[in-house]
Amino acid sequence: MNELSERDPKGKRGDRNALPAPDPPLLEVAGLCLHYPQGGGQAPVRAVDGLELRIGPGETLGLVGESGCGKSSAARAIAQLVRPTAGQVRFQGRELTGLAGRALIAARQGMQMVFQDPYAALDPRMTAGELIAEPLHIYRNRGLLTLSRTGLAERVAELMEQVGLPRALRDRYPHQFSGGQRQRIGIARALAPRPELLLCDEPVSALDVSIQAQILNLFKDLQQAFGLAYLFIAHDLAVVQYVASRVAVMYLGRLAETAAAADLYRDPLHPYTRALLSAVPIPDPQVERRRQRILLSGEPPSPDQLLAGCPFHSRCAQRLEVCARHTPRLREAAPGHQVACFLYHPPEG
Amino acid sequence: MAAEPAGHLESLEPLASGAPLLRVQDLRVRFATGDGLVQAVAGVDLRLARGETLGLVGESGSGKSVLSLALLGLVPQGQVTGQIWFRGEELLAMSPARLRRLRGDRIAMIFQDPMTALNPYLRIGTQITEVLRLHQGLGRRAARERAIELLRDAGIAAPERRIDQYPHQFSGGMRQRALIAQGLACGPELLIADEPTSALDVTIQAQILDLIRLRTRSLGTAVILITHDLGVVAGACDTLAVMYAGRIVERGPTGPVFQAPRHPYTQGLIRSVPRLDRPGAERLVAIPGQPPSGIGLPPCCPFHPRCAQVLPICRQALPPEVDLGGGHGVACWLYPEPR
Repeated sequence: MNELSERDPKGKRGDRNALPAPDPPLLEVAGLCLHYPQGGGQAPVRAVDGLELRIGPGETLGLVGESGCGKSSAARAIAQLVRPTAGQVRFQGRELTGLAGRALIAARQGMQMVFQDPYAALDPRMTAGELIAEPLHIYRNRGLLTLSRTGLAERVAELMEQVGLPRALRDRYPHQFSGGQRQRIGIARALAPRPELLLCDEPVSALDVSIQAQILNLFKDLQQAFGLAYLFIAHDLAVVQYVASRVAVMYLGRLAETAAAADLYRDPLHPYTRALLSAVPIPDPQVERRRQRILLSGEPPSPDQLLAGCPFHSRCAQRLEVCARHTPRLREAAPGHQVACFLYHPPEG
Repeated sequence: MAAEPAGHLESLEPLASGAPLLRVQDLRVRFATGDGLVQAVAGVDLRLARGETLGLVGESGSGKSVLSLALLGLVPQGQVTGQIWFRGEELLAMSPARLRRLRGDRIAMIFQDPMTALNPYLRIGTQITEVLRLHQGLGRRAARERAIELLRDAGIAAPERRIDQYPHQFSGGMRQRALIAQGLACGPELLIADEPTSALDVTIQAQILDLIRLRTRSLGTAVILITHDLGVVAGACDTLAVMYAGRIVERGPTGPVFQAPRHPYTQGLIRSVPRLDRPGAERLVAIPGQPPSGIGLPPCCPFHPRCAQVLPICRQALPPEVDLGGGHGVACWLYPEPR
């Protein structure tokens, strides 16, 4: 871990205690863009287009949005699994975007990913024990970790215990596990290098309801035990409310709104956030009967056909004339509550 | 699916009032697999009234999709036993030709993934006019006009233009709308919708559920809505049936069942879902363990290994369904049969 254990000294800026994101952030993403080129002289697909995020130590930031909004692309660009087109990703005080090879692997040791489909993320020919040991081998082979053979076996056993897998299952193959158990293997792999931040991309959406609750509780337990921070990407707003302390709502590659979870769910400002929240079904017929839905017309435009103006204006019931011409920037509407919408701050001041 | 001529359905007698549209008795579906015989549906009884919307809830492997396919005679590779009466006719004893006439006309189905349910090589219009020409004997032009109308009713803008496009030119939500237009083309009496919104985003899900509700209400169509999402059931269904390991473990009118679920599995399901209207929940109550695989199910309550209220008898015998009154039924040994 050597050079990784050094941290920025905790800068004391007590006057900023109104902001929910603590200083200094563990992860700071600024102006992140990920544009996928298209053939035939077409404009690139702007999957992520100027994303700003901060995550403090031990904090959970929920990143929500619908399919195609760029939330998974954002996670991949943050982890440098795909190289961002532009922007900065500062993690544990170190800029990741310029790094490559061993330096990148070293700098990224504290940031690991958990994927949606644990079956696709696990090599079917490796046993659970081998799968969990694999990341340890990767860091050990590069001299980033010292572990003896017995130490490695002990660490695998410890990880299995931490994620609630019986040790006796270490020699089984992925297909012999249920979906929930596979996700536990995926989480154990992510925990192996002792990360400070997990990037979780829809980690419970492939799971059955009864199993989803088990895994969500596991995420909470691990956070308490190890002080983990999460970037928790999900389309299910009820799940995000359960796990996140802050929430960022993404629409077509940009943030529409970000706030402390309690504020965002109690007082959503952006018309898109409001529609999104009103569309989530609540498992209670009496509540459902009383609810007023904001039915959005149409569907999100394709990210390769972005029009001028606010990306949401074509579906927005409250759009102003300016919304089709200018793109609103994310700005503070209340302390710690930022929204990119002209309803809250007119253009040019 | 190859379109064999279905022929017209002679006008059916109006259903006697009070008679159920659909009645299922002791339906069982088994599949032979490399790992052994799988009981996907293990004895299901069901009644559906005209115009009723029933939510069929369960986790993956609970048998809800196989049950719905069996209702359509679409599990040729499985052994299907039991009885299914649709408007008093026995479906399992029916000739394939007769069944083909009913399917697509009186009984329609829409699937989770509209891309695989639509033929990518055929224009959207062709896939709807085919149904109209087969079942209603409409001519080419009349079928096209009707298809445009149906697409418009399904909320597709500019249907005159859209009708000549291919499925890949439609978004996921639009494809589901096209599939709904196709399914409802002949004004069926029963629509089976298998996870119709699970592949869609929540804002689109709300649109599609709204559309299904409006269209089936105006046609008087009964719906079996298969879903894993209790929120969808709460908002869209009159009644619900909860499936576990191939059986219905609890059923009843949506309101009472949600208000006072009786089966420990139903209780667990409702408690394990985070709710948008309940912020600040400290911990979800998860159901421990894993759902059974359906292979070698013991002749006792299949939920007992995961049940916190397990009794000795639960490990010995299968609980019968007990009527709790008001259409609310539960199959659990905690509720002994009244003598």
